[in-house]
Amino acid sequence: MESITFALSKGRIAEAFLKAFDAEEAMTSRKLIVQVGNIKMIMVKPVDVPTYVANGVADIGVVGRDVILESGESFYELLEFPFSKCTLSIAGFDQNINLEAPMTIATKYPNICKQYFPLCKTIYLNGSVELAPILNLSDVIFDIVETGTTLRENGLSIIKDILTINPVLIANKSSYKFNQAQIDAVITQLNR
Amino acid sequence: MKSNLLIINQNKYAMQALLMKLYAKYGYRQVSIPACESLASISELEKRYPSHTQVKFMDQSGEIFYLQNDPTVSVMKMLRLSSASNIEQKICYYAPTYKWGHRQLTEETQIGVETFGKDTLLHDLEIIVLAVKSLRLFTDKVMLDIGDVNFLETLLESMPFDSEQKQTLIKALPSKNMMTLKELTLFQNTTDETWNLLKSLFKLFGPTEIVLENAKQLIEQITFEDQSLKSKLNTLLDQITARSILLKSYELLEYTQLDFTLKPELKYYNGLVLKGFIKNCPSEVLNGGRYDQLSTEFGKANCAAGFALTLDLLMNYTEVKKMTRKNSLLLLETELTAKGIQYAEYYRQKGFEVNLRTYETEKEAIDLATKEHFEKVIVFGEVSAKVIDIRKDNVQKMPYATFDQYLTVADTNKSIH
Repeated sequence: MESITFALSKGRIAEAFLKAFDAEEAMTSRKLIVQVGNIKMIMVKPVDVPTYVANGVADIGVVGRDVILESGESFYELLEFPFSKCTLSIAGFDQNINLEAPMTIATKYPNICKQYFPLCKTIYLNGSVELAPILNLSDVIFDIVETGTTLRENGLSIIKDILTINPVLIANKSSYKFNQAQIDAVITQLNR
Repeated sequence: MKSNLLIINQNKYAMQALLMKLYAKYGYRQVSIPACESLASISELEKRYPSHTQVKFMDQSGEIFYLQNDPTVSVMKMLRLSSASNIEQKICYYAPTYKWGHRQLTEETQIGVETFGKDTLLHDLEIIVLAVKSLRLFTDKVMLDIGDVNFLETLLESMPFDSEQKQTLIKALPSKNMMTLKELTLFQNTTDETWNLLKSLFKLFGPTEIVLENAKQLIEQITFEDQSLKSKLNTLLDQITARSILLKSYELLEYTQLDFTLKPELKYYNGLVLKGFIKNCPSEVLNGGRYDQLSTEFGKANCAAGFALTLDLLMNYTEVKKMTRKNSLLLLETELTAKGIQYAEYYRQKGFEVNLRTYETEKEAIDLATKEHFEKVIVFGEVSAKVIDIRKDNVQKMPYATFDQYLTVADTNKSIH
C-alpha cells in the first residue's frame, strides 16, 4: 500500500494516534518526521496543519476546528474527536452589550469573527487577547474559552458562546480520492 | 524546480495541441477569447457575479476594463450578439485568465469546451466523456466527481427544512461532515428521523452504482408532502442512471464517481456539476457542468454545458509525453551543398518540416535528432542517401533514384497515439 502523510502537532492527538498504532516511543523523539507503518507523520504547529493538507504535502491532518475555519480552506472532515472541546465566545465587561450593533472586537480569529459579526471592526492580536478590553483597545474579545479561568482572573466574563471547537481529522479532497483505502484504515484505527 | 521557460512554453503548447485535437474529433471549433473586456460592455446580469479577484484597469480616457477571468461569460456574450445563437454550437478555447490571488496577480491558462443549444442526455454525456479523456491524455490517475444541483435542490426541498437551514446545509455538505450542524441552534428542533435522512444525504458520494442505490433508498425514506417532488427525484435519478450505463460503454465509468453533495463554485450552474482531479495535484484541475440559467440571463434562452481545465496545474503534476514531431526531417551533409538545399526545399514544398544541418559525426547527429524528436534523419552520401527512422529505429540505405520517390507526407503521417 502506498504511504500517506499525516500532519499533526505534538500533544494529545499525537499521543492518541501513536498509541493507536503502537508507536508511543516516537513521542519522546525530537524528530519532525516519523514513519509509523505506511504512515509518515509530520509534526507541525497546529496553525500550519491546514496549509500542509491544502497543498497536498500531507494527505490528512488533525487540528482544531477554529484553525480550519480561520484558514478558509476547504477539506473533507472525516472524524471529530470528542476530547479537547472548547468554545469560541464573545467575552467582555458588559454583559448587556448589544452584539448586533457595530463594535470593536479583539481576536486571534479575524476571519471567523467577520463571518459572525460583519458590522464590527476587528483588531488582530496574536496572544493575551484579554488585555484588549482592559486597556480599551476593544469593546469585547472573540476568543477560545476552555475553563474560563483566564477571563475571570482578569475581570471578564462570557457574554455569548458562538461556536463549539473540537479537533477534527481533515483530508485533502484530491488525496482522499486516490488514497481512500489508506485514509479509511487510519480512521478505523483511530476509532478503536 | 522549473527554470527553462522555453521548454515550459513548448510543453504547454504541446498539451494545448493535444487537447484541441481531441475536441476537434468531437466537432468542437476553436474560438478566440478576448484578453480584456470593457466594464461598460458588461450587462447588469454579469454584475450579479462580481468577483473580488477581478483585475481591473483604466485606459487613458478613463474607461474601465477588466482582464479576462471567465471565458464562459465572454463566449455567452459572443453568442448573444450572434444571429446563429439558436442553433447548436460546439466551441472550444484556450485563454489566459487573470485574477488577484494571495495579494498578487496570477495568470492561469484555461482550456475549455462549451456546448450550446441542446439539453439532452447525449450532451451531458459528451461533456463528461471529454472531461475524463482530457485528463487521461496526460495521466491514468484521474477521478471525475459528478454531481447534480437539480437533484440536490429537489432532495432538500423534499426534506423538512426552511430556507435558512437549506443554505446552511448546502454550505456544510461539501465537507462531508454533518456533526457541525448538531451544534447549531438552527437545527435544535430537528427530529431523529430527519437526522437519519441527513446522515444518508451526507453519504451520497462514491462509486456510481452504490450511490445510485443509496439515493434510491433515501428517496424511499422521505415522507413527501408533495408527491410531484418524489416523481421529479425518481425521473432525475433514472436519467443519471441511464447516463451512467452509457458512460460504462465508453469504458470510462471507473474514472468517475457520483457526488450528490457537490456544491458548484459558481452560482450559474443548474443540473450537471463536474470536478476533475488528478493524483498528486492538491486541488481540482477541472470544473464544469450545465448552466442553462446563465444563458437565459444573457437574453437568449439556450441550453449550455461545458467545462474548463487549468492547464498550468495539469502541467505541474503530469508529464507531457515526449512526442516525435510528425513529418519532420533532419537532413545532414558534411558540408552545405546545392543538393542539400534543393532536397530541403523540395521536401518543404511537399509538406515536411525540414532542418538542414552539417555534421561531424553521425552519432552526434542522431543523438541530436533523438533529443529534438525528429521523425527521420537523412544522411546524404556521394551516391546514396541513408534514411534513419528514429521512431522505428531502423536504417535504410538507398541510391538517390530510389530515395527521390521514397518519402511522402502520407507515409510519415502516422501518429504515435
